[in-house]
Amino acid sequence: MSQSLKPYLTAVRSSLTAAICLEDFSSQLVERHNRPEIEVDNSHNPELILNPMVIARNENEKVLIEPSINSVRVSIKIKQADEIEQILVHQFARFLTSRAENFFILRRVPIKGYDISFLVTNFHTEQMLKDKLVDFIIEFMEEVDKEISEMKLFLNARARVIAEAYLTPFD
Amino acid sequence: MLQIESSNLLLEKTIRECLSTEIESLKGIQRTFTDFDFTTYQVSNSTAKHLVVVSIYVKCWSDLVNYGVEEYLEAKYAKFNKVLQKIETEAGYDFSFVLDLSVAQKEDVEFKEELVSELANLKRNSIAAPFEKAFSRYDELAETYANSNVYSEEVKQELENESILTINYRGLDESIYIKPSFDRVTVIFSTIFKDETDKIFGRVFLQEFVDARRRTVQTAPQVLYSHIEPPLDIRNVIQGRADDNKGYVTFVLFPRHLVKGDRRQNCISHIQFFRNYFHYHIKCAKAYMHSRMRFRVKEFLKVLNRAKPENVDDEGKLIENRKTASGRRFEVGRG
Amino acid sequence: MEDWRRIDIDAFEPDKFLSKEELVPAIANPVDEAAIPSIIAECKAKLSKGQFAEALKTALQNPPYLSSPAAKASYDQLVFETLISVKNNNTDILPFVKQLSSDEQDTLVKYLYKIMDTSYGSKQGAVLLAWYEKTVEFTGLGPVIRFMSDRRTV
Repeated sequence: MSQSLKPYLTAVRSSLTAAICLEDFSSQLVERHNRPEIEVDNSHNPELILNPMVIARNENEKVLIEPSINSVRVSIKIKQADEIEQILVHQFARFLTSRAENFFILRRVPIKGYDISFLVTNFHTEQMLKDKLVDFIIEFMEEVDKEISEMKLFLNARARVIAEAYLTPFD
Repeated sequence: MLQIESSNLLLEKTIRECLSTEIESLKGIQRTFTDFDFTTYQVSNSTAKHLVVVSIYVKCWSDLVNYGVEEYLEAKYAKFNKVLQKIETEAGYDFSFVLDLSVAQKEDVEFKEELVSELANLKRNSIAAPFEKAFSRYDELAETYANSNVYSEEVKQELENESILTINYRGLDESIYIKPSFDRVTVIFSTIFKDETDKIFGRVFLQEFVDARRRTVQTAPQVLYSHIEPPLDIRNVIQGRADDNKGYVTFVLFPRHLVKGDRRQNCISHIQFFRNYFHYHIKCAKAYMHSRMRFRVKEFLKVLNRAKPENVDDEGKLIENRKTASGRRFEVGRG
Repeated sequence: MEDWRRIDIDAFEPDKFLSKEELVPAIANPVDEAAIPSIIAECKAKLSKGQFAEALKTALQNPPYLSSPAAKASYDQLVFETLISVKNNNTDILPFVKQLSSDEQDTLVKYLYKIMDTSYGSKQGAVLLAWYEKTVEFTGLGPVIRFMSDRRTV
């Protein structure tokens, strides 16, 4: 693990642990509705929304955590050093979001400026263990980085093999 | 499976079948199959059981005709003329042969095998016509300029004006351009990338093609790659629209690749399948990425499922038989 | 008698929602906007003299909660520079965290989050994250929660 990755993940972990403190909360606007307050327009009741947190490792890698009374939105910007990584991250994010159903906490559309978003609501924390949810997000961040760089290495290696295989028989 | 075979497996199988089955027991054949680049074959014996008609449709046939494909094919298959004749082309196809099984079956095994493999390479041979033409033009040029000063302005000018052979093998947007010269033949492919991913993967691959020559295969043709902008040589003959997704790949074939005989033939078969090979491997890489992502997603799901407080195993299945600390079981329905 | 079932009771009681400004609690002795430049100068002087602990304390003692965004931005810069300079000149920053009062630690965490959100801050992510790690390690999650819920934003 590189030098600055550990403090980064630790910071995300403690921020998430602090942020995922959710309770059931019915909508103040619509009778018998219960919606994730972070996702609705909250100009009328700002007291339900808490201060958002940004944890940045560098300009290309950061996490935005937006807490509210009954939901937390976590958006992750994954490192993208060049266009290959960009396309791989894009594909991976698309692959995940199209399977959002299975992931419960995955948001189908990421927040602008980020690659992938999670939405944790009080219903999730009622059914799942909070610490494990945090573990999941941390592990996700770790693995995604690893996966992307492995895929890139693989792509380059494959390209080399096929280029040589094509060019050798000419002679 | 790294390389793509230049022959068509289905065609090969069908012909071999015809040659090895007794004519009396042969059933009616009516087979149509396709190959790369919108090529279609049809094999049928509708007129008489022993007369098998093999037809081919190639999208760029009109270009090929300009470069003498019909004569080339006739010459190429002339050694089989006892059994194989050109006939009037079937409707919807570009070129037809008729194979007389009653004669062919009496030939020896070697002859049959050669016939099968040459017929299976029908598409390769069709596309080979312009390459042959360009390569023989190279032979002429090499002879003409063997003793002249090739750096003089006039010679340069003449070479500059050398006509370019164009094969729009997949419509106007994807073409092969061949330009002969006295010491080299330049083959340029224009190709379209279907989407952003193809484009970027393609670029990674092509970068390796360019580098491979420097690194390991020094004897390979030189490869150049340009994106959107066509290379200077062919700027005047470009058809089709300019496109963000278009790329140009240039191969410079040197005399060592153009030695007459097997090597030249090998070179032709190899280079004309460049696009297929290239796109095939892009697809392969994408498929691999996909399966990898699938696996990774499964792993993520396992991690997420650990967050569920029920006793679930890694697959997310419920584990029965929960026990208390003292080892007693929970049992439902015991009062 | 009037049909009381048909009375529109909402008309008697207008919607009462809190606005963002109303959420901010009263602040005992707010920093005068005019005083900010002098605090900045004082802090920088201490930094140049090598009095890192004092400089940090000065910067975090009384943050400008109610100032204009521009004044706050200049103050952010100050805190940022202080943090960088303390980190660059000292191998261990934990003692600096320890000598802060609990309120000052809260303020430090507030600034860490805020500066990480700026373009200059994210370039120095490693330094800020080191500060963050040491602070939270020492204080626990308290300051993080107070950062989220405190309406007195820096």
